Amino acid sequence: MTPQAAELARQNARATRIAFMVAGACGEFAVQPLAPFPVWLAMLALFVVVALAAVGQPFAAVADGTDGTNRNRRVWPVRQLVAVVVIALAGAEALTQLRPGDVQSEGRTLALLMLFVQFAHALASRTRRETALGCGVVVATLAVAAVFGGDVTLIAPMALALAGVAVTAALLQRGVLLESATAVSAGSPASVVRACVAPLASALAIGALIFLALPDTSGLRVRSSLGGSGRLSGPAADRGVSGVGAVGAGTLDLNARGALSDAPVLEVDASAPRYWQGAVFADFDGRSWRSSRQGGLLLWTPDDGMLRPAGAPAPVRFRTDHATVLGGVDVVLAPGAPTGYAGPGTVVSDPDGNARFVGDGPDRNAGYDVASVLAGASDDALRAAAGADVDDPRWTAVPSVMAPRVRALAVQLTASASNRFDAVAAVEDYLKATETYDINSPLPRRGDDPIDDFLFVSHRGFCEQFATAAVMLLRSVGVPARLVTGYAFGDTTSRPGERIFRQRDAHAWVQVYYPGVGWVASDATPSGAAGAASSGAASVRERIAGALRAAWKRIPHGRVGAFVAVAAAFAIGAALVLLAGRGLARRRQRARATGRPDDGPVLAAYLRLERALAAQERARAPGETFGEFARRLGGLAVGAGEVARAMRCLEQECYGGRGRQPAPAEVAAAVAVFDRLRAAARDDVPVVVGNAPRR
Amino acid sequence: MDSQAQLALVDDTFDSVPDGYATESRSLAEDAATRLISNVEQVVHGRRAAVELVVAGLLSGGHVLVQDVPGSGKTTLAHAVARSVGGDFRRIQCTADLLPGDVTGSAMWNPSKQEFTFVPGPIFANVLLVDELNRATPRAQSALLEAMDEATVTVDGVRHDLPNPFFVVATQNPTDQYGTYPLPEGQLDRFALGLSLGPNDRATERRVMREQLIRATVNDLQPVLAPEELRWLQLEVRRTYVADAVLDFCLSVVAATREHPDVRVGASSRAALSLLRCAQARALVAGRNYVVPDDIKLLAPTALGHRIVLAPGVAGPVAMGSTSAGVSIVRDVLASVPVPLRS
Repeated sequence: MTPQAAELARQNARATRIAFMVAGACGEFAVQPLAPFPVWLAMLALFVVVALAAVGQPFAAVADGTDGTNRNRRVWPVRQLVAVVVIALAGAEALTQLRPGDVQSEGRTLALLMLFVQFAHALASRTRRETALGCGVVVATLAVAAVFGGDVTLIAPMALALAGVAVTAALLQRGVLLESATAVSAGSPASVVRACVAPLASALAIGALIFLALPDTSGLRVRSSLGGSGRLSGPAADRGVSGVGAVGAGTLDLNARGALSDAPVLEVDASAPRYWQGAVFADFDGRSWRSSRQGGLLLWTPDDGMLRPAGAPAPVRFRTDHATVLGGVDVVLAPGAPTGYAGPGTVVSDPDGNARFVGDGPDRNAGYDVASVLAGASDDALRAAAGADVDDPRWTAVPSVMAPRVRALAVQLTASASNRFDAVAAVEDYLKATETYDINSPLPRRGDDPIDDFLFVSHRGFCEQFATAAVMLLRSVGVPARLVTGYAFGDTTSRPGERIFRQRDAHAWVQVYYPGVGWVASDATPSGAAGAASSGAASVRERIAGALRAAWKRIPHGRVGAFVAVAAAFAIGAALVLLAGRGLARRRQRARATGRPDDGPVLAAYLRLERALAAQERARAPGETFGEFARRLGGLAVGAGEVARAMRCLEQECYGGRGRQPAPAEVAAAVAVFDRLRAAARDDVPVVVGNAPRR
Repeated sequence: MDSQAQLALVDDTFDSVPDGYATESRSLAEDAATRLISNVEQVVHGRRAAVELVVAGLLSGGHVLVQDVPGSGKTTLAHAVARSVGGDFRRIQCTADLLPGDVTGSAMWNPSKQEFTFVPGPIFANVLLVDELNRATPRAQSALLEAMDEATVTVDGVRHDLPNPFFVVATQNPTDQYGTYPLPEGQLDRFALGLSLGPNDRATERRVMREQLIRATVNDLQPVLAPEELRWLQLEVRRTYVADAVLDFCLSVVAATREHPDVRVGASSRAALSLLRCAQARALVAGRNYVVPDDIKLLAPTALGHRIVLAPGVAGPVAMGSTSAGVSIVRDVLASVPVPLRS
């Protein structure tokens, strides 16, 4: 073993470790349906790294330098060749599979890529530990992706990867994969399984933790080619829900999602209603909502002062509120349908309740007064509501493309309801009970029916899905309903006496028309979900609890989902137990290997080495003597003869007693040998041949 | 004297020898031991480990029991060791009708002096080869007991000292052979080492055949060690340093044999002492003036295995007096007892 070869081996080990760190990090992003950067590019780069490592000179040099037997030279080119072929095949496969923009196919391709990288690495890795680590990282990533990404299709590659681990372990056992036959000859089947399972389990746990800790990026980027109709596609993108656009032309696309930042939008009195509406939507075409203009426009100018409509029905309550604009607002936000406005700017309104500023909205910190009509009555009054229904067909229109099973579901839900209120309650209860609120739920694919997807496939959505589904279900059975967007709940803690709405408090809910009462708000979104994230001062414990809740909600439901969830929980639990056990074992080993102040220099150096080896689980077994251990030590970094001499010196220091201590030159040499072994162990160059004998 | 002071005294004994002298005498001792081993190896082929063990037993001042099937060369080994050490060499071939007097000697009527005079038996030798020990009756076996333990013989109420050094190497056939009496546990405990030889490989066997076809080579062996030299070596063995950590390791091993589930009676304190002595001897053979745990580990199976009494039903009826089960138990124990780095 030349020093150059040792240096190369060290570099190789380092490169492999870095490659796997990159793989792990990329894997985490790969499970996010809408990753912020093209993950597959990074993966391909990793590919190149592994490919270079597999075919590169360094590896070949190490193979020659290890022990120079003919066997190595014969085996090596075959492995190289296989690695190259595999990588080429995988690359071709990946290129044909990738369809940019198609999220699911991308995810599957990534999974495939991971598998091939794993296989190539298994072929190229030099130690069992490296191989096991590779297996672990890949399987853990896939498992986490399958469990939390909600893409059940990943299970198949995961199973493949597991099979790959098994095969790798079997091959390792037979000594096929490793160039150094001695490295496995002493390994029992149990130790190989242990070597594979332990890193796998820990990688699984670590992967899950990283996944939970990473900010969810899926909502940050809207990958759409809406051609300007998306609510975030224009300059209004950072203006929250106010970006619904012009009255009469505002749209709300269910296949896109707005940014949910912490930017404050509006400040009102804390006692003001919790729901402030900004736009009313009438028409749904199966994809997006549109406010349509019906009837004449009303122009409010600052000169008009507060308008007070007269002759409204009895249960209707008027109220006047004062609001301070904190961010970009281009619609008049009010607790109900605005009927009057006093403040800066000119407002144009329509009879539906949309009121929009002409030109730019008020400046920051400008205040306005708004009068609005809030319809509401007791449950019994609503049950008994009777009289002339609203006759506009827009409020009961459903898109022609709506899936028939939505209507069937609506009929089934409301079959037992004798009045409108009960029907609304039935729909609300069903949605709250059946569907899962998930602000990060994957957007339906362009071309999919978002409502059908929400109600029957994914069962996950946020307020827009809940509200739209509720409106469609109600309209299917002839109940006049409409979708309202605005802000809800807000933050009442950060400034006493004030309620501050932030962009992430944007909400969508339902208004149902009750004869004789008017448009009564109804929120089908599970309570506590909307605006739950808005309390900026949440304690760490609440945050963790929230993260856990969110993680739980992200687990797909249904039979397969439940199975995967249980399996994942089991795996994570097992991983934790394993980790704890390993930690304990290591602590015991470390306690044994802890130095004492009166230790001689050789013993101290040896204990440092033992600690380094304990990290690899290759330390001296408790029942092993120095002599027995010395026969296992050695390899690339230090020759066996040197190790034996150092060990003899160590024995003399430990057991020689007074007057029989080793000479200073011997001590220095032994310390140097142990330090060199330790450096090699840290760089993953195998210094221990075979496994420690275990009981 | 409290135990700490005792230990300090022990340490002082170890350290009382000047460094230069220690090194010099050590290399002399190593030379002598090596000479002995290579001399025996001229005759006994392919049994390096066994020869080293027997020599360790000899240097430790203990006695050695060699056990194997008939014809495996145990007598040759014992004979070779005995001949390599100068001084008196005697041999007792045990049979069922061997009487204690045949071992120790007896008082004979001397007609010229008109009195009984003591005629020493074959036991009065520096090296005694007791062949097929388990063919002797328990009564004859017990005659050896006192001799081995005390290095004295009492005949008709008179004590007779045995020569110094006194080394017994006994051989034994496996007890399933016809016409044998199992050795009592007390007798077994008096042997420092109990080893078995195991089959030779083909090449070695061939070489042995070739040599033996000409003549019994063991009779040509010349002594390479004078009795005084052996005495000095045994003294040197006692001077070999035993660190507290090593002592603890030895005691842990012995204690662990007692706690093993398959064991009825584990190794005794005498066993621990004789194991330590043998380890000291082995250290000397290896040219060290201190004992390392490796010495203990190497010798423990042979030093403890034959003294272990198995729990009833563990090894079946044949195992009575057989050492192999005990050896495997000691090996088992050795794998689990942690090796201390320091006391």
